[in-house]
Amino acid sequence: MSTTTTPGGGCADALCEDCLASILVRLPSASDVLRCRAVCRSWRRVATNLLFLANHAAHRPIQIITISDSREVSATPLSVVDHPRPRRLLFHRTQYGPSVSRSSAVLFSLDGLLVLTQRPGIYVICNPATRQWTRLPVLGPDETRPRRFDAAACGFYWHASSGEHRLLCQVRRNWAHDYNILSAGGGGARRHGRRAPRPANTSRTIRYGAPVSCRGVLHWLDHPEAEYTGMMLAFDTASEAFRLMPLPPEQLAGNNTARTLVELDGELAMAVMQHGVSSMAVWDLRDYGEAAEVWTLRYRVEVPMSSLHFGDITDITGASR
Amino acid sequence: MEVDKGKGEAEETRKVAEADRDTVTLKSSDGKLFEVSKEAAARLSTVLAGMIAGGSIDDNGTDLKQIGSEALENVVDYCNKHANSIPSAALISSSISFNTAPFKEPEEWERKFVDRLSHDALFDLVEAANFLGMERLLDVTCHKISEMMKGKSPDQIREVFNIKNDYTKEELEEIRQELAWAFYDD
Repeated sequence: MSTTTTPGGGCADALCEDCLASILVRLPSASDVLRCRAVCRSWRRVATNLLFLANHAAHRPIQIITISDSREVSATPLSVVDHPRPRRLLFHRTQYGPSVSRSSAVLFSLDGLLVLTQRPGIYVICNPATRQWTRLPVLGPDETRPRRFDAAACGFYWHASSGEHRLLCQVRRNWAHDYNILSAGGGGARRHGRRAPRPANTSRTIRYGAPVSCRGVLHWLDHPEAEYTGMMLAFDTASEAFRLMPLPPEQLAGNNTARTLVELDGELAMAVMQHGVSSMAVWDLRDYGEAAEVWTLRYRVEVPMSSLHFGDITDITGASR
Repeated sequence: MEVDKGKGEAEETRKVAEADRDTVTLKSSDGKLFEVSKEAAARLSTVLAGMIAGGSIDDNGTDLKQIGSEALENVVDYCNKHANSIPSAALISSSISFNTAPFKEPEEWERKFVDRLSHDALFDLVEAANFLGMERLLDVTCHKISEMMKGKSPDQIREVFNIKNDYTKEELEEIRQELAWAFYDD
């Protein structure tokens, strides 16, 4: 006989938390999940778990987040078929939102969370599904000498051992450049031990490309040290340590090369395309993290001219003259 | 599936081919025996596949102490029905959509299979599917239960699923305010 027999409806109290999570993760809308938090304590525990929320977000249709002139933030599901409820208002700035305006930019998205910024040093994390907002600790200028201040968000990651999502930033206060780690979970802003590099031209803003995440490590091809080191920057999200890593030994003819860092079959790879040459090389990093870490040429692909970058065409014609 | 018939078949098979059986015998917590195709069990359950590969299947009935006979009967029934069903075009060709990883929709026969179950039987089947690592059966049963929750208020959910409200009045009011919008839209 069944282990749980209750008169009337079935008794969901007997379900283990894993099973309950398997059921709740299939709820179609975020408000269903939110309502479930009000059912009882164990349901709230399951429905507020960060991994659960990330899993729930991963199974929802992809949505476009729009911030309108009237400062409404809404989500529109991307779909080829007509959607019965095309646009869903996430929140209105005056009602729920902290510092979000039309100029707010979405910097990163991870595990169903978005990182938005309005201006350097002010970052908020938004869960568009649950319409919840968290303000990250504010980075500001040196109070005694508030002359020059700039901040750039480098990457957003999940710090497994603390169970926190964290934002890595480079901050410039007057002549000092530091890395700061911001966490939403009460950790505040913490200065990282590694000194951040100064941009080669001091008047220039700090620039980081979008990091590529692989094996729990964030990798930047485009970072302030790239110019003079010729290496890529890596940040281990578990140990929170930086290191510089070599690039593939592809002949790099200055600006005539377009390089893209990608994750390919779970490995770090780099696609290199040279201007005026209709072939593309894909390198991947063997023995990642080992002493004998080497880049290996994986493919060399002939690329049809039409797929070359638009800007390249002028370069190619220029070169042929 | 009748237990006696299952038992009879088990003995029959043992006589015919002791070493090379194409079925496995499963024993519920209350000692009832069920026969299921080895192929279907290995394909649908990661746990049973592991036991078959590791040789830990007992010909006299592999003990599944966590699973009651009613749930195990449904598991076996599901395996047999699954073995006989022809997967629909929807399962073979992936539909064109931008969804990252949508859950698979249940087949028509799978819907009918779970629709006839009581709430208790459904919950027990979720536990059994979870225990046996039967992803597809977990999909089908959890989909059914989540459909019963869709659009319901916390009060209605508690009523339907017979759940005790262990919040204090003050806590509930706090949660209500925190999630104000979730109670009126979508």
